[in-house]
Parts: sequence; structure tokens; C-alpha cells
Amino acid sequence: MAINTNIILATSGFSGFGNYKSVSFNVGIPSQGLGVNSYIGPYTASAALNNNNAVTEVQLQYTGLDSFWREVPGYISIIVPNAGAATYEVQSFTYFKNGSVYVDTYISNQSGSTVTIPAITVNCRAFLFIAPF
Amino acid sequence: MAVDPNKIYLDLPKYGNDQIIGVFTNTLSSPAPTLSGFVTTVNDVRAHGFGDSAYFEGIFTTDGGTTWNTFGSQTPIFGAPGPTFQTLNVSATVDTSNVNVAIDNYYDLAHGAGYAYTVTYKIYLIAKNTMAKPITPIKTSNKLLYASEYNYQKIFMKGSVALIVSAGTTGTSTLITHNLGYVPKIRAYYYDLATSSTTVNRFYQEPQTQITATTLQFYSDQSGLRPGITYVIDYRIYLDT
Repeated sequence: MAINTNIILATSGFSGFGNYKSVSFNVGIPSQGLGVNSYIGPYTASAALNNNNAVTEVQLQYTGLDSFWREVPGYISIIVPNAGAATYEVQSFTYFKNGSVYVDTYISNQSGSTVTIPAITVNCRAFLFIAPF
Repeated sequence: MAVDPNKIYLDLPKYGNDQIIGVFTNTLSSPAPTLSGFVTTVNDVRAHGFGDSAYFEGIFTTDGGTTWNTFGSQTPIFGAPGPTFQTLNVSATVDTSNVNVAIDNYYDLAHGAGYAYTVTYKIYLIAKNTMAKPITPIKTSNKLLYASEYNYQKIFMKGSVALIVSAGTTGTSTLITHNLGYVPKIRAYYYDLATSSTTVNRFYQEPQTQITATTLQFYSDQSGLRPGITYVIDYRIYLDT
């Protein structure tokens, strides 16, 4: 029996997301003191990655704070305990604009006293996935 | 061209793929918010007909398709006196009947302005780890459902874990060990048992993921005045191939 390949339409019936493009990038944040009610930033990490029709995933790692990688579904915020009650908040925003991917990071003092921020490197990975339709 | 079927070989994959079972798209006007109103919300409810909820991934554009962003992403508005981050937020949930898309457009307090947008979204529904069978995908005009030129994401591990964190505390889920030796891509969705055991929510700010080369864990910060959570999280860990 011969098969006409013009009418072979599907092999699975369903499909997922195809790996398409990825990029790694980072930005450094120097160690510094942060006064009461103060914030620093934006520290911007960016790389060329044009998202003209793809599903995305962005992950980041705050070296200097811990070794985890975290998903960034648009926005992430972590509260970092420090000496005593002196805590600070690290916030990162991710978005695609003008052919690039951006991760903007801010750090704000969440305590009633000056806090010392360690040197942090924000390592980022961004992925684009082709969707089938 | 004729092909001898005796010479067709199909290499069956060891790992499964995600199964996209429907796509919805729409273009909506998001009216400019005012200072007094602060936010305008446009809801788009679309019946999916599965009789069960589904995972989903959503993307949206405000510039006619030049640039797309994932649901939950908010592009800052820069300029003196400072950036505004709470701008235009597109999010969704999927319940047993509908896809519920919400477009929230916030007033720009820093610059004293509200902006109107034209928002086009696409939302891809994905079969869950456990979903009533058979699943009849929503028909599309696309004829080729599986294009072999793409390297489809392959699911290395999948499962469910609970994340229960009391008000005023922080907590983690059970540690999931994958031992891949590299930091994998993942997707995760949760059910908020306080509101619905079937409605699928996508991760936005909370809860958070903690991924290493050997493990995956979910974390939530409910310290301060936060109310506490009772979540079930479905996760998928993908193979890098």
C-alpha cells in the first residue's frame, strides 16, 4: 500500500511547546548600606531576545543571597532576613520590549534601621517557546 | 509522492509532551483609568466545554503583535519622577466551564496619567496531569498538529504537592528531587483550596519556585499580615534535550 504524504496530517493528535530560543544574562549589585525608607535600583539586566509571538519563561538567581533559581512570572518579591529585625525586600520585574528581554531589580529597606546589602549578582535565563498555532 | 509504508519508522518518545487542547484569542479595549477610579478591569469569559479545568499559558500584546509578554508581566513606565510598575496586568484562571481572562489597567500615580490600551491575548489550554478522558481538543484552523521540525518540550517529571502556610509565617512544600544535574525549565499551577479545588491558577507573584540542579521546591511568604494559604500545586519538570 502506498501512502500519500500530502494527507498525513498528524502523528500525535496533540502537541506542546517547541524549544525555540534562549539567552543568559546578568547584572551586578554592589554591596552598600541602605537607609531607613530608602531603595536602590533599577539594576537592569537585559539581552537581545525578540518575542514576536512566543510563550516565555524567565528564571533568575540572586547569588550573594542564596543559590536557588526562581521562576519570574512577570514579578517576584522576596523578603530577606538580616541581622536582628533589619529586613530588606528584593523585587524583580521582567518584560519584553523593543526586541529585548529585561529584568529590573530594586531593593528596599523594610526595617526601622540602616541595613547592609551584600554584593548580589542577578543571573537570568530567558526562554522562548514556539506555540503551534 | 508515494511512500512505502514498510519503510516508515516511528521512534516513539520515551518522554511525553504537553498536550495543547485549545487556544483562545481576542482583542479588547482597556479604557484609561482615572485617579479616582484607580483601575479599570475588563473581563473576558470564554466557555471551553471540557467539563474540567486545564493548565494554561497566556501571552498578550499592546502594540499590535510586535512584542508579546507573558501573563503577569507589567512593563514599567519610566521617566521622572520615577518608574511606575503597576501598569497593565493581564491574568487568567481556568475553571471547569470557562477561561476567565482579566485585564487590569492601573492609574499611573507617579506621572499623574491614565492610559488606554488595545490588548490582544492568546491563551493556550494544556491537558492536566489528571484529566477526564477522552479529551476532544477545540477545533482550530491549524491542519498540522505536530510539526516535527520543532524540538518539543519533554516532560521528565510531573506530580502534585501541597503547600500549606499559616498566616504570619513562611513555609515550603515537600522537596521534589529530580537529580537532572542542571537547572531545568518547569511549569507549575495551583489550586487554592480556600476558594476552589478545581480552578487552575497560574503562578504570578505567589507562590514562588526554588529550583536547583537536583531539586524543586515551592515556597510562600505569608509573614506580616498575609492571610495564609492552602494550595495544591501541580508541577512539570522538563528535560533539556
